[in-house]
Amino acid sequence: MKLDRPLPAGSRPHQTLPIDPRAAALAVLTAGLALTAMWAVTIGPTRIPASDIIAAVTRFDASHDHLVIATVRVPRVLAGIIAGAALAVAGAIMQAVTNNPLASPGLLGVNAGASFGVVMALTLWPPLPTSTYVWAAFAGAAVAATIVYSLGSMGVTGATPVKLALAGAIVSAFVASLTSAVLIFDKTTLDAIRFWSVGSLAGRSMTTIASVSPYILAGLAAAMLTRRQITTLSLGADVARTVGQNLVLWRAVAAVTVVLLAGSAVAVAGPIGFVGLVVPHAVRLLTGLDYRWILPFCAVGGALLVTGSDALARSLLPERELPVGITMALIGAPFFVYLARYRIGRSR
Amino acid sequence: MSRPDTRTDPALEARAVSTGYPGAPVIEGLDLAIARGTFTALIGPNGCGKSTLLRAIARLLPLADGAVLLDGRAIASQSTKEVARQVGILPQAPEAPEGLAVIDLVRQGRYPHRALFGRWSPADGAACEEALALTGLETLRDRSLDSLSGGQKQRAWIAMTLAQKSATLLLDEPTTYLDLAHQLDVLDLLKSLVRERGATVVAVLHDLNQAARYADRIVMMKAGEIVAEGPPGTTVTPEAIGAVFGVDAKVVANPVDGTPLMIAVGRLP
Repeated sequence: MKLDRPLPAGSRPHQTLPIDPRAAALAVLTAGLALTAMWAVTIGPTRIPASDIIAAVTRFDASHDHLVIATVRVPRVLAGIIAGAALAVAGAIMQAVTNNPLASPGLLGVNAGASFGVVMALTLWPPLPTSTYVWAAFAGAAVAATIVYSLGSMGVTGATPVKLALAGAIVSAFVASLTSAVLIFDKTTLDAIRFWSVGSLAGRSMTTIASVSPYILAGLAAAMLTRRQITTLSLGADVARTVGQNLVLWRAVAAVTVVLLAGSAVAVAGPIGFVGLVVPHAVRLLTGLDYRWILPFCAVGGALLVTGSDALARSLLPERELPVGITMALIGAPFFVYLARYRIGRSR
Repeated sequence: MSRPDTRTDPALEARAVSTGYPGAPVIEGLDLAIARGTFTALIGPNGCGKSTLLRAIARLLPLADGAVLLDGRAIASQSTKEVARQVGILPQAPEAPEGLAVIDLVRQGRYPHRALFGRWSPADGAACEEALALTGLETLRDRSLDSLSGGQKQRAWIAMTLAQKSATLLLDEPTTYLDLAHQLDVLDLLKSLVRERGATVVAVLHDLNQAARYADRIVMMKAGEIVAEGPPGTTVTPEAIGAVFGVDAKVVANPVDGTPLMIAVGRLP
C-alpha cells in the first residue's frame, strides 16, 4: 500500500468482449419469450397453427379462427406479458430498496391492497371500466405499502427483513379478509371477478389491456431510467450515505414506481403471487447484483414465466380453466421454501 | 509555497454543535476546527461522544443546534451530492450485500460525480483504478467482499471513498476489527494520503499510542466535551489521560520517533 506505486504496465482497466454476455443472454431470453407467446396463442379448445397467427395479423379476414386469435388468445398472452413483467420488476425494486430478499408485491401486501381497492370500486360503483378502477388499485397498493413499511420499521432496529415480512403477512391477511367480507355480501361482483381474485389471465379484453398498458410502460420506463439509483440503494444505507445519495428522494421514486407497476398488474390480472419473489432471485443467479441488468432481465423473465406457466397449464389441462395465480403458487411455494431454507439463512 | 494558515482556514469546523439521539443529548455547544491537510484522531472512552461527533460532522446525524462548516460554508445548506464530492465518510463496520465485487463497490464512489443520466466516463474509470492501486487491491478487484479478510474488506471501503476524490475523509473506528498488521496498513495509508495528497483525515481511534504515532492532532473527549486538543506532544499527558480515561499512566518518549508513548499503570482510585 504505497502511494507512489504506478499502475502495473499492461493492466487494462476493462477487457471487454465484443458483446457483453449478459446482453446476449437477454437477447436469447427475449427470443424465448417471443416463441413462448407464439406457442401460447396456438393453445386452446381449437388448435390454431402458427401460420394462421401470422396471417391473422397480416391479412385479418374475420374468420372464426382469426376472431378467436384477436379477441381471446392474443389479449390473454398480452395480459400475461405485461402483468408478469410489471410484477417481477416491482419485486426486484422492492428487494433492492428494502435490502430484503423476502420483499415482493405479494408478500408485502401491495397486491392485497390493490385487489381490495379494485373490489371496493367494483362493489360501490359497478360497472366500472378498467381505466377507472386501475386508480383504485393504485390507491389500495399505496395505502397497503405505506402501512406495511411503517409497521415493519417500528422499533430501534428499523425495517429488518423479518419484521417487514411479518408486517406484510399481517396486512395481507387482514386486507384479504376485508376483501372476502365485501365479496360475501355481493354475489354479482363475486361472480364477475371469481377468477380474477386469485390471479387470472382469462377473459381479458383488448380494451382492458390498452387502458392499463400506458401505466405499465410508464412504470417500466421509470424503473429502467432509475436503475443506477436502484443499484446504489440496493447496496444499503451505508454506501448510499457515504456516496451522497438522497435516500428519501430515491426511495420515494422507487415506491411510486412499485405502486404503478403492481397496481396496474393487479388491475389487469388480479393478485398473482410469487412472480415478484421468484423471478428477481432467479435473475440474480445469472446477472449478479447489478440492477442495471437485473431490471431488464426481470421484465423479460417475469413475462416469460407468467405466459409460459399459463400456456403450460392450458395445454396440460385443456378442459379446465386453471387460473395462473394457482399455477404460480404451485411453482412459487417450493421455491419460497428453498429460499427461506438456504439463501436467507446465510445472509442474516 | 507556504502552507495556508490552518487556524484561520479550517477544512471543517463545528460551531456550537449540539446533537445526540431523541431524548438523549450527547454533545452540547461543542466547538472544533479541523485544520486542512492534517490527520486528526478523536480519542476517548466508550460513550464519550466521539463517534456521535464524527457522525454529526458527516451529516449522518441531525444537529439539534449549531452548524458544521465545510470550507466556510454550512454543510446543511448543501446537497448530499455536493457534500459527498468534498467529504468521504466511512461508517463503523459498514455493510454491503454478500457477493458484491470489490470493483463494483469502488465504482459506487463515483456516484457524486455523475449527472442523473450521465455515462461512465474515462475520468470515472481512472479514479477507480487509482483508488484500487492506492489500497493495493488491483489483484482482488473481482473478488467478492465476503471472500476477503477484515483488513482487505476495510481497504475496499476506503478505496470507495478514495474513488470519490474528496479532499476530506471521516472514518469511524477504521481499525477496530482488524488485526495488528492490518491496523498498521490502514493507518499507513491514511497518513500517506495526508502527507502526499494534502488530504484532511479525521478518524475515531481506540489505541492511544497508535493515535500519538500517526496523528498530527489529537482531540480527547469525555462526556461530550473536549478535554484536550492539539499535537500529541501536548495532549498525550498523564494528566489528560487521567482526566479522560480515569487511568494512572506514565508517558515516555517513543524510542522509534520520539512521539509520546503511554503505559497504563492501573486504574485511578
